[in-house]
Amino acid sequence: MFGGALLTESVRNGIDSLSRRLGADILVVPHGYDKKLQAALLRGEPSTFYIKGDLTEKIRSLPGVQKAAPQLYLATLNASCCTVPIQLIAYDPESDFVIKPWAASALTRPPEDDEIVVGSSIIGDVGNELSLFGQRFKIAARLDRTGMGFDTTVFMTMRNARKMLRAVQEGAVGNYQPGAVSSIMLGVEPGVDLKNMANSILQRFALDYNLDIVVSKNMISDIAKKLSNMSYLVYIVSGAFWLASAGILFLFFTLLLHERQREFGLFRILGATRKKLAGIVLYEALGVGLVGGVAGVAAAIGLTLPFHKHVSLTLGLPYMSVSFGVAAALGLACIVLSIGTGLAASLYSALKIGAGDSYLTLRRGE
Amino acid sequence: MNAISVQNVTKEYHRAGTPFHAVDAVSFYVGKGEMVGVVGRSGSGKSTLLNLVAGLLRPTSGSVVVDGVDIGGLSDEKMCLLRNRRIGYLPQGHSLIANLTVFDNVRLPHFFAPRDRNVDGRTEFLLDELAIGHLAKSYPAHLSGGEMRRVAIARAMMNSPTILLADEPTGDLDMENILAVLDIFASLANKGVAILYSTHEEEAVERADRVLQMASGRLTERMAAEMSHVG
Repeated sequence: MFGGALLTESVRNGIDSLSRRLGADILVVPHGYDKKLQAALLRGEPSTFYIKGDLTEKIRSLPGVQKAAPQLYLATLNASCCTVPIQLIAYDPESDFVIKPWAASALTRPPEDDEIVVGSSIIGDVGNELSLFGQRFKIAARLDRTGMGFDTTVFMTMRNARKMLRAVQEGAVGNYQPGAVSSIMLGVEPGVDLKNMANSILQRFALDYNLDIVVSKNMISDIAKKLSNMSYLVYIVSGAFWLASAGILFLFFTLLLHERQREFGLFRILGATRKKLAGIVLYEALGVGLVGGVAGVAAAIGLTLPFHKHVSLTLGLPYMSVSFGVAAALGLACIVLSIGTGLAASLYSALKIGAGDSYLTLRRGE
Repeated sequence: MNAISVQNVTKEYHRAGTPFHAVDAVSFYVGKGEMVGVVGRSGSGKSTLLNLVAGLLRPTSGSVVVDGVDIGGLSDEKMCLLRNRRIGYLPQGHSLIANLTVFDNVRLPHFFAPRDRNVDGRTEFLLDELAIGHLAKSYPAHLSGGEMRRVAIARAMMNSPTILLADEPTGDLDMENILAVLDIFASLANKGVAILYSTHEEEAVERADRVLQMASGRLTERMAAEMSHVG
């Protein structure tokens, strides 16, 4: 149960982190790349895709569009930091309204030409150099953990990225055309209908630019729906396990009572009241529940922590570990539930022994 | 005042809906420092009688007075306290807790009704008195039948009771241990402890001050003579 709750809360935390950081109302991407964009944003799966760069200005001039910020996505073939390809996102510091706000805590000024900002999972200290496409860049800042693909992403300015691309061999980064971008993040004016705006962009530019539109609210709600389905499944499985555990504990205490009739009969002979006997059973149930709860929480931590990335990839959901306080509260709640289950399961035995005829109890135990 | 006074006590059970008297209109007494044996076949009601005196069973009718207290009207709490403080009880067969040492088995009654006394000192004293002090740290699985019975006696005497009830205390013991247990009983009786025990052993019958014979829940006619002595 603790494992399920921890997983669900961590995914919920990841989705919250995503919705806080996404910032844009609408995302414009090349046709067929909406899933690639989601994968890059959620899980940092490296992708490279382009649309013509002049589209940014055209969309920015549309009525109802408040902000338009281009981004360029590049998947590195290899980098000195990593054994696997990583995602590189280039942004325009002047028009950007998506990355700057939450990256500001790590870097209060725009990165210089030879500087990059790295996600929390990228290896390398601030001030060190990182090699990308054969060129060296200085790490200017490291971002806090986001639970999203940004954790395994390297950020640089658009000018920096284009300068880098000019220096690499043709074909090394796909069919890049000078000035191209990968996506355009849009912020619309208050009151503008997002669906209408998306349709309007598609009608105007879909043919010339071969576009797809992602409405971020829909993307978040799709993910939230996925989480809801997952939570439902997790809670059903947890509930089934809980019921099975309660049943097993009930049988355990009933059998234990039968096994220990002679012992309880002896206690009665020595002056134990019925309340005392019931108390012994409940006290032992409390101990079983406590030990079981703590062991269960420890086992869940041992299983959940090492495999959370795998779970995130398998589910296709962002994952951000909950804070220690939340994890402790969840663990405590599960331990309390475990103790409560143990006590409830032993209640029948406790009541039975408290009400039974001690002499017969002793004789049956012989 | 008698240590135990039983007046016209009946204990009725139902077997397949039919009333059955495990103890039927029984009256007797046990004086302080007296050793009284109860004999009779299996199922004659001996154990039920002991349990009625111990307050482990409530009589269907009649009265049981223990150490001057009519136990019929006592609450479970008060009865348990009285049993803990004034009645030592040796159950039939092996009655030690297997996962407790001899020392802890003996001081077990203290756990159910703690009071301000030197429990460890009293435990050591009893173990030494019964010549099993060297077994204090042993577990029941490592004891002989006679040793286990001595531990059970020590436990029964933990709270210095005025009454000792014993259900077949010499059963499954060899002659040497039977005599040893009876010697211990005699020694306790000399100190004023009233002892009521059920037995099948001839030696135990011989050592009793008086013998009550039970059959089908009733005392035999020769016991009827005792009725006039009930005080």
